[in-house]
Amino acid sequence: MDWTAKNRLGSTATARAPVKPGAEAATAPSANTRVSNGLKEFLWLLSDERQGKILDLGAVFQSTVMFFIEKGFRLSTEDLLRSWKEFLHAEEETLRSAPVGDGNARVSQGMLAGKFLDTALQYPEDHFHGVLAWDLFDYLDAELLPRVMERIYTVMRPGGAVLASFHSRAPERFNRYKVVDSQTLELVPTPTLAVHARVFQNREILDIFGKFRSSKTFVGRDQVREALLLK
Amino acid sequence: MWRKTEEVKPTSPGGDAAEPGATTSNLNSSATPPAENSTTSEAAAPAAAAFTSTPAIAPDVAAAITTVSTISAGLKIRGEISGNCHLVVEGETHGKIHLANGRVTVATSGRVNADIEAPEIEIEGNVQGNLNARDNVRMGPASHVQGSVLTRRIRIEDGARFRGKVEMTRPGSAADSSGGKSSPATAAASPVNAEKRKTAVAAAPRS
Repeated sequence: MDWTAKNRLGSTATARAPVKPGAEAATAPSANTRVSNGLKEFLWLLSDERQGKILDLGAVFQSTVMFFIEKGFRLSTEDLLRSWKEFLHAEEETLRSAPVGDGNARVSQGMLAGKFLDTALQYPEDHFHGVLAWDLFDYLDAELLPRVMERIYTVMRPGGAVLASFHSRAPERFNRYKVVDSQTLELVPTPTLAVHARVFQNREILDIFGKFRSSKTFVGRDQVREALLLK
Repeated sequence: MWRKTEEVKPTSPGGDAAEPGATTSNLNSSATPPAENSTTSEAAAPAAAAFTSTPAIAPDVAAAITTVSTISAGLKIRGEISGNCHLVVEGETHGKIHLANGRVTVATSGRVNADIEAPEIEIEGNVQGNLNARDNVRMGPASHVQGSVLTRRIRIEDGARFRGKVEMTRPGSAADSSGGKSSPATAAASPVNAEKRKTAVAAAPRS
């Protein structure tokens, strides 16, 4: 799979209907959609795969599942951010109930990240043709992020594509993403699952995807950057 | 590929499944063919409150099925559950659930650690296991499913939590043929139903 290996459809790095906070967004459902040129390109890259396997690392939605299934893909879903939050909550409860002075009660973020990944993202190597990660990587803490990236790299097939989104400024609210069609996402405002950890510069985005061989970014009017990377 | 004509979306299956409702009787009643259970249940208390069968009207999938068996909250069952009836899980089950005809419903309070195979599966609670439904699967807004889903139609409500793989079958495929060859009437006389039936020891809900 390569950027230049196929005929290209025109794509522009623009987005319509940016997400706006406040009453306007609440009263205008149509404003909760955005154009995703990254998704368009992602689908184009995978269009030659028959029954390609896709991993969605966000919340499950009927429209997203049906969209990919109707296109002939096999979809797996794992809400990584929610799993991480629940894992931290469980660990906190464990620590709270541990006896005072118990040496096991001392855990580092690195240990937590390692323990979390003992059960999360458990897939065979070279399994997925595509991975979707909207609003995920810039919500993960510094210890977990590189380990997640490493795991994602491992479970992807050579030539597989990752589509991820990054905020250019701290978001005003937390959204999950539904696929509406090949180029449109619906943003679903959701109670915050995790604090937005940091804003990544373009160079940093490339660094965290260091093992991937090729990348492309799309910036929307809503200042959300979509990064598409190939293994 | 996004220039291709969009396919017609399948109709959502969740809305057409009529909920049965009728009078309630004990599982041991001769009028109600029970699900076959190999069970090891925990706790001990009067049975009737925890494991009941309810004559029902099920016009959609298996019109001949007239019973709904309920594993009530507080009851915990280990083993294989099979039969020809509708099953509602409000308690906890570990093992395997296989209904040749009928609907498995995991209620909000239900926890299932088992593979489920049935024509219709409806999840409102917590399931760890694979779902194989000949007709449809519905995941409610409070559902939490971990496992693969193999079905012909699926409906996922917003708020549902799912970790696993979704695969859709088409009519006539392997998944479609399982359990679908015998009518409820013939199934009733099949060797499956001639197996030894064990009635679950029921338990009062643990509060």
